Amino acid sequence: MNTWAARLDNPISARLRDPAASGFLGIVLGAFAAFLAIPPIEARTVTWPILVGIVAAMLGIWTVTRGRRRLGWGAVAAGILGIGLGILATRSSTENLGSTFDATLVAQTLSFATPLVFAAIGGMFSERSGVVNIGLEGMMLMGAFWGVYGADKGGSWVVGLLVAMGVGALLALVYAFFAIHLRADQIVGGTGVNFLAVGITGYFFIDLYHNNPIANGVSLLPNVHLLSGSNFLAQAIGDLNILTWASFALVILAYIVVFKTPIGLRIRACGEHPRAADTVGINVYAIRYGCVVLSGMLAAIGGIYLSEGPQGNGTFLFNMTNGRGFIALAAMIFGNWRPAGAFGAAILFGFSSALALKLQVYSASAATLFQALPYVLTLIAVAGVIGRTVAPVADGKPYVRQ
Amino acid sequence: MRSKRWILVVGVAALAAAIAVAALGSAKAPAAQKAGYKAALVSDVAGFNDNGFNKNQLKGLNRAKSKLGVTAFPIVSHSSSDYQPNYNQAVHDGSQLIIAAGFLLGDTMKQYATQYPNIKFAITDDPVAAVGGLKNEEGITYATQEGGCLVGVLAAKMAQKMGHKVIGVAGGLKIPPVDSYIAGYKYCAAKAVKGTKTVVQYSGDFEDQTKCSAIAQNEIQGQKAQVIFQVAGLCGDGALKEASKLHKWGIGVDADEFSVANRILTSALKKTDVGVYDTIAGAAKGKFKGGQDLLFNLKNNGVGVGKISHKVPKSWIKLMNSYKTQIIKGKLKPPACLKGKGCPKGA
Repeated sequence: MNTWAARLDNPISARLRDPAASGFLGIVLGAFAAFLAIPPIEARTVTWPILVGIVAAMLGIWTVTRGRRRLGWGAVAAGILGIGLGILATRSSTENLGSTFDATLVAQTLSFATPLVFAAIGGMFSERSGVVNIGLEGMMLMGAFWGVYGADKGGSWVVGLLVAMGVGALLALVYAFFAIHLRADQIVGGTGVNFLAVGITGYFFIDLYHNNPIANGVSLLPNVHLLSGSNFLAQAIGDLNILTWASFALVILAYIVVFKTPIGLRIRACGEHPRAADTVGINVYAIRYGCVVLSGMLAAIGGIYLSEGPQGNGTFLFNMTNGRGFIALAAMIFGNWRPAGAFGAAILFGFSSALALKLQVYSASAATLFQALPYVLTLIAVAGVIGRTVAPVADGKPYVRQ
Repeated sequence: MRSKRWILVVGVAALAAAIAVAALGSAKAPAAQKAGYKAALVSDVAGFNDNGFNKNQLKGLNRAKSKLGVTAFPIVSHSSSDYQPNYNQAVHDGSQLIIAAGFLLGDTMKQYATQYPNIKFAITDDPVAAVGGLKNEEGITYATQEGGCLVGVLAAKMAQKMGHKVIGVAGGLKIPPVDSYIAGYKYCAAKAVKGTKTVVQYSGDFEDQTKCSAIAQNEIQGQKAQVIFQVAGLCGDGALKEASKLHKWGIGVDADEFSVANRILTSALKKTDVGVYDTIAGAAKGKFKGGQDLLFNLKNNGVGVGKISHKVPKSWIKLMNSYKTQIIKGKLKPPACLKGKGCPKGA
């Protein structure tokens, strides 16, 4: 609290003298340089992107001389990249630009990000309490299959959602038993969970549906129709899925629970120093069980979005999560075990997936190259901007009560 | 240690359950196996439940089983790391003919064909020259550009009627069998209605509907495409559904996809079941054409057009049929590839 108050008291000039702030500003300006050249601003001359980019790079160099080297070089790189992208954008046709950076880019970004947000926040709860959850992938897959099953047999997406959450929680409970009570290695246990989920869903998919796609007409997760029309806002957020809106609420809720409530303090205590938590009377096992089960439920909600979401069309496929659980795990680490950070990272993954498809208006032949974009962006972001992340101290260490 | 005993109990219980399941499973397996020609079909990563490409080939295999009394081994792959073990299994089962269900299995097939010269190998969608041109190999190729051409004619007419002469494609991976469809589609669309523009995007995926649905959205809202031709298997079904949702039209691929969404113009058929059946029938009769390709086209009814929407006027169908006759007579030759080596200019 103190540091926040102190920062707010300072005049802006003093805050700018802080190298961390200037480096961060440089990175933002670098991104802004590229942003200037694309719609809706769409500057058609190279002057503005170059000017802003140079300012960003200079701020970066200044930051480097003040000792924050990683952040400084990040700002320099962002400035140069911003100039480059800005020049590229001004040279491409407005028609192509318009169809790449349009409102649907926002909608698709959010759609690609939604399952990741749920799984990443779930993973955060588990790891904040001190249990590494590699099994997110498997829990998502269970949610994807049993969600469709529930919606198909129960006749409503609500049933599907509840079934998915229940099954996700059950699998998480099994994992929690191994990881917490039996103190099994959590990486090995989580990997086991993933394979178990592939086997279970694969077996029942063949047994119940004879390996055929589930018939059309399954009740799907509904979209929320807020606005209609062809203006920017209506196309961007006028028709998002109910789970996408829920994911926004989840991020805020997770932040409040973890950082502003006594229960959140207990969760963090279990992840940082379980012995101390135990000494003051917190039931470490109960907290950890609760958090792992919650992570299973959230991951399963992320999973059901894949099969029952607006683009899933009620189709389940063998191993359909296809690594998204691991990407969610990466998003959580990338977001430094914080809800807003994890959300930002998930949005970045979603944005680059959506952009990779959109960029094909420039060259369909380079499609394969563009599809590497999410991973390249991640590497740049992790290595250049975020730097070292700090995990909860007792993350992954089973606790032995004495 | 108490916890160790727990693990033991859980482990024994799991083992018992696994044995029980295995016993039940084997009890279901067909008891009587006819002695006869043995043919295996290895699916590509999409598995046999893909609504089209692989599923049709399985149909061909099953028809060979019931009509010719062939012993059939359908083997499912879920990822490219399954290809080798699946070929090992096919060899181990004593298959005399092993059919690869697609282009993606080419490398694996080449390796096994070299290693086992006494077993016959065939591959859907790949000419024999691309897999080493060995004497025990046969390519099952389809002139899909001809089917693509016919649906391209309808797409161009529909786009013209709807006011924007733009038609779209949602491709899967950028590989020759996908591009041949697109090349024919593009060529004949521009021929049928002058000035028709074809926009193409690839999802890089044959399964994930989310990606193809995003592509359809991009092409329709960003580039004003009026018709989306999907060439991406199960992924492409997402594109068809999205096109219907946005009140545009979709065209199915490989199998008849008329019932996938409510606004399906038609489908470009690739009768992979015919190809698989004919290959097995030929090999079983000792007429295996080692080192050569079987070609399935409009002429021998190996490719074609599926059910057509009743919204399509008779005159368009007539126009499409005139293209069909020209192709069969050899007067019209739609290109089989997009830009690049060995491709005519303008394709």
